[in-house]
Amino acid sequence: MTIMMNALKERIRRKELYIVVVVAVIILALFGSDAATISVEGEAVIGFQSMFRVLHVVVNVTGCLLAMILSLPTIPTEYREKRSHLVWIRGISQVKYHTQLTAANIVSSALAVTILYLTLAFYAITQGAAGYLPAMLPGLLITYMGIAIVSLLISVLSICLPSFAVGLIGSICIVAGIGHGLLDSYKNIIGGFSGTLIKWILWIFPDLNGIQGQAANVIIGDGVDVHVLLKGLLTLYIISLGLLLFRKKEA
Amino acid sequence: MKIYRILYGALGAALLAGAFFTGDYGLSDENIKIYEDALALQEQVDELGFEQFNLNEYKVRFYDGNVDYVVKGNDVNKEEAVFTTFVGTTYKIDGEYQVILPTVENFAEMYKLLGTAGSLAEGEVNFTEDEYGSAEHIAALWHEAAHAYQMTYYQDEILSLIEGKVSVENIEDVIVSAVDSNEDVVKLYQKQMGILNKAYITTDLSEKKAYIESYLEMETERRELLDEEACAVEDYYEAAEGTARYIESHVYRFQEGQEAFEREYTNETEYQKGSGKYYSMGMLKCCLLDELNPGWKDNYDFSVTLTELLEAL
Repeated sequence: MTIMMNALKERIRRKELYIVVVVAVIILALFGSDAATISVEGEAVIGFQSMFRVLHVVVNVTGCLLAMILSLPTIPTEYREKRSHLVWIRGISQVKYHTQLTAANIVSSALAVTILYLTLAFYAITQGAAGYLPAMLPGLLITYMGIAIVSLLISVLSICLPSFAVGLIGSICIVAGIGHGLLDSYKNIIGGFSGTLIKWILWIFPDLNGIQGQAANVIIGDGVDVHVLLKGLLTLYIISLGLLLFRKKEA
Repeated sequence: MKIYRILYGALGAALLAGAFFTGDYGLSDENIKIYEDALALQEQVDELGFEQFNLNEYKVRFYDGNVDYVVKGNDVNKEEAVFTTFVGTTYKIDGEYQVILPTVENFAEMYKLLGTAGSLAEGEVNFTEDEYGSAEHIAALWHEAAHAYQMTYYQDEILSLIEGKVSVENIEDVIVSAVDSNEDVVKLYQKQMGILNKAYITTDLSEKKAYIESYLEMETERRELLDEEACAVEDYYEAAEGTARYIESHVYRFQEGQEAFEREYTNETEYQKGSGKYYSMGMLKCCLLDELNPGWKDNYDFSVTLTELLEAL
């Protein structure tokens, strides 16, 4: 627990977290005001529910990026700065050490998303839709799932791969995860080798947009697809196995 | 420690089971209903007059993005996809022509992605995303089944319209290069579209015939501007796709009524590049032939062009 708390404090101290959160808040404030309009398929998005869904996607994308930025350096930095030796001499196992560092990554990412969610809550209040606020808590919990997937994947991969490779895989995960539905349809339009490649990418990387969509559904009051949520949890479980399987040679 | 491992393993097993049992597998009920509803229209399609045209003769493959669900009668079998892309077509598989369509869910997804039905609907389906549903999918299914029928019974006849006359593999290229790029041809065609629409709309028989005569005169004039290859491709598209669109549109009418039929199918006034325009013109000619020569489909084998049938009135 001490390892996690220390790691967590350091994550929160990082400047990039604040910068990204500030940028996201500005984007949300712009979209949520009359200062900017957005359009989908050539039609302006109007009405609270439509706009809320768009903002929810923005929150999710920002959260996923944050999760990657925060999680990527954690474990490699621990080893590079030889902090790991202080842990080994206390007889703490690699699994426990990596698990606590990963937990710190996930919690710090979740904190950032919570801040973004507060902006969403503020938007709801200003739009006279405070009635949606109670449902934002379960919505936030579901959103955590997608963020946790990214953070966990990055953390696990950073145990055994160099940072640039982890960053690349993480970026593909986010792009494929956010554009899952779109890419799924696109693969069937283009077909051929590219279609097959996209099919495999979609098979490997989880449907992050599907998960955030369920969170938005919970808040707005639309039906929730339990299958998507269970698949998300299963994905978390499968990636978590990496914490048991992957070891650093140094130890 | 052992108990934690057991609990961890049990959690994984529970999640796996949960994800598995909550998933949707197989062909959705909506697609099965679409197939059954399409079959139920057989008697009404019989009245259109195409001999031996039975939907239940052809297997229908619904492509769900991963595999084909092959439906015939009450049987639904999962098979490897023939095309790993969204297409609406008929294709010879194991010696028989089968209908291939995306599932209705995937079709709707494609609309969302492209704003139209994209390459699948190259002139075939003219609905917007909001309009597309079961009735439209049933109509599309019959459209492709019409091609399966043409290729099963009249392949030689229908291909005789272009065989030996067309030198390129993709016949649509002929339309793009010889028809769409010729301004005079396009202008005349646009006029012809308007005239044929008027012929369809008017209820005065002599007026109808006069419009058709005017159309045919312009057709002769327009064809003089085209080479033999382009004329052959036009004839082929009208015979193959025009009749298929005719069947599709009437299947739509059986389901949605005359008003919806006229709104969606007989208001085509914009010139479409590529082959799409021949779907509409061919269909309109079939409708006019119905009015002026109801027996035109008796022994019709697709070797005679629709324009020739109009000329014979």
